[in-house]
Amino acid sequence: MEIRALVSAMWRNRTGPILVAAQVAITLAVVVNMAYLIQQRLETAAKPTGIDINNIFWVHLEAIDPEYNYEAAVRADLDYLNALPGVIAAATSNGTPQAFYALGLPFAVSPEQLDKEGAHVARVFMANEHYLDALGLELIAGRNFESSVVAPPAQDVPSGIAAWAPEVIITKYMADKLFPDGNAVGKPLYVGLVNRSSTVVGVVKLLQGAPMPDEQFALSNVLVPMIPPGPDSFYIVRTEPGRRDATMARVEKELADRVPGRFLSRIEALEKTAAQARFTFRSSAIILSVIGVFVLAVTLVGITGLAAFNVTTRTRQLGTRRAIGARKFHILRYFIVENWIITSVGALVGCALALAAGIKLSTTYALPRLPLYFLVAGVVAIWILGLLAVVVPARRAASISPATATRTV
Amino acid sequence: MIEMNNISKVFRTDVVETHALRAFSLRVEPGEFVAITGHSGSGKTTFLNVAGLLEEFDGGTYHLEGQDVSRLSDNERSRIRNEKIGFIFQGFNLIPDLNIYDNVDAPLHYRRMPAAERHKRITAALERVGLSSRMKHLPSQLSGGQQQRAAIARAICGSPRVILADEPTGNLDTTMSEQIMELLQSINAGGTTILMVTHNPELAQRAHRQVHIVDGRIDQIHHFGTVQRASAAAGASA
Ligand SMILES: Nc1ncnc2c1ncn2[C@@H]1O[C@H](COP(=O)(O)OP(=O)(O)OP(=O)(O)O)[C@@H](O)[C@H]1O
Ligand SMILES: [Mg+2]
Repeated sequence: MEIRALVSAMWRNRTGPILVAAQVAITLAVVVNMAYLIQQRLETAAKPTGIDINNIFWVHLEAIDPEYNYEAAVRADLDYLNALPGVIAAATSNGTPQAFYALGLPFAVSPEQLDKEGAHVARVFMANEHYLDALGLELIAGRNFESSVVAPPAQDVPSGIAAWAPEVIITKYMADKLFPDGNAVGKPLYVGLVNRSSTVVGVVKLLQGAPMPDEQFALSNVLVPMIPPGPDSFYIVRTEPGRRDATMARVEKELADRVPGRFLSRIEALEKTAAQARFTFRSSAIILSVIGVFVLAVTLVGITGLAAFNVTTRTRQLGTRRAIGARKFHILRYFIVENWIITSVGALVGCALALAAGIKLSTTYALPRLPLYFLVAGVVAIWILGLLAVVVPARRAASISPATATRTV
Repeated sequence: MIEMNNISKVFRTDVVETHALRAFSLRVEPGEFVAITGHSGSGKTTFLNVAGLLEEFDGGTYHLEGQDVSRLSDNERSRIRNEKIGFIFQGFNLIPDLNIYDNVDAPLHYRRMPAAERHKRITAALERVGLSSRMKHLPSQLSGGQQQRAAIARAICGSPRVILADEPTGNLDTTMSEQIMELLQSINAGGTTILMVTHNPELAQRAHRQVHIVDGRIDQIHHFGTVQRASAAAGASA
């Protein structure tokens, strides 16, 4: 096959091929980056949380009586919840992980590091001695909080934070980042804004604050022993497997009325909360997939269209080629090679575009760089797609009768 | 060379059946120059297409150089067209996007001929038709007569046994027609069998034989001369 003759013939009618190659290039750049985003999102949604999600629910109570004694109510409620049959542990907190609630503060191993912008931003969860059990977190170093260090409720969140606490529990991810020598327990941890330090007393293996692509945001979490400020109360309850729904029903019926002056405003399985947090990832992954398939389909139509147009306009020369000895195979090959050159030129340009777009995306959305195997897979996919797109017109071209040469003038 | 016996060819469409060839029998000797004449629609092109393996036929037998061609596969038919037959068309049928050199090369590269051999043949054929200086031109940059000469170069560069020409001068003026006719006669003088459809009685008379077709049948055959070459004359039956 004379590639040179084929290319120069193509160059004489370059508008169509250039347009289709451009379409292929844009498609490759768009689809590869979309596929990468989709993969990132699905991967994020599927990451382990370290939490016993299926057996946990949370409940929120709102006080309406100005005389309502929040601190006494919390102690009574926790006693009640922890004594319920089937309950493993119940704890107070300021909000549940897996929701996009966030109270973030900068942390560092020294005041200097705090000043020099080397601070590590982490999410703060208020906890008590039951918190680890209430979420099913695994403590891998140090110890849990003693009930005696759990600070009573402050007037409001800022004053609670300002008072801070003498000790904290952090995640292993954060411990590894701040204490690379591997020994976090017993070390001081400085808290920005409030300018205090506490001692790290324990490290939990994993606690995913919320499903986010960026590991640093997702996995940097600090537990601080304090009852959150009232007057509304928030409890996290973990049951034995299979007993969550029954326990939820009972709590919904009994809890609020145990202390007058309040009502139960919301009770929800953590499973549902977590699923909702992932919903945006899943739905955007679906939307991106649909768009990606659409873009590919449009390109397929473009490739097929150009090839079909070429078959029609070349009918006479195809008949002539057959007359002077081309086999069907030669005609098929001609169209496939021509199409392969167009898609490959497009793919080459597309790779450059994809890399540029990938760099832009990764800096804009703080994502890791587009891995090269996505590009390789994209190019292979474009080749296969191009081949599929050209098969039908190429076969039509090959079936043109050699008699066409004498029958068309 | 060509031996057709009782060939029939029917075109069927939803509404009509056209008997383009009926009980068509013809024997062409090697080295002969046969002119085919007849009114429009009489079946001249159909005959040429059947002879050139461009179209299949419905009944009868056809031997090309002794080979029965009725049961050949599409690939085998392509190979025979490529190696044994040269085609010249009324509309020249050069490939518009290829220059003259590449056009002449086309049948050779379907034959997987080595590049050096191809180059030799292409330049020789273009020299023969007087187009050596136009190798890099596109067909659209040549006159009709030049295009037809390029097409003749394409037809002869593979050294075919027979050339089939369907009104090769139909689109050309008298001077150019004359050039083409002289070229074909000189090719024929080299031993290549030629079958040429023409509407021009003067050109037809310059062939060895004129076969006149009416309604898909041979109506008359006129003899104007005999094949001069000894080997071909020995095989002639008439
Ligand atoms: N593909 C086809 N389908 C149906 N009928 C056809 C087809 N090709 C040719 N015919 C018919 O077959 C008959 C012979 O046609 P052919 O082309 O051989 O005539 P011709 O002698 O070459 O005429 P012309 O001098 O006009 O070129 C005509 O009646 C024509 O209409
Ligand atoms: Mg005709």
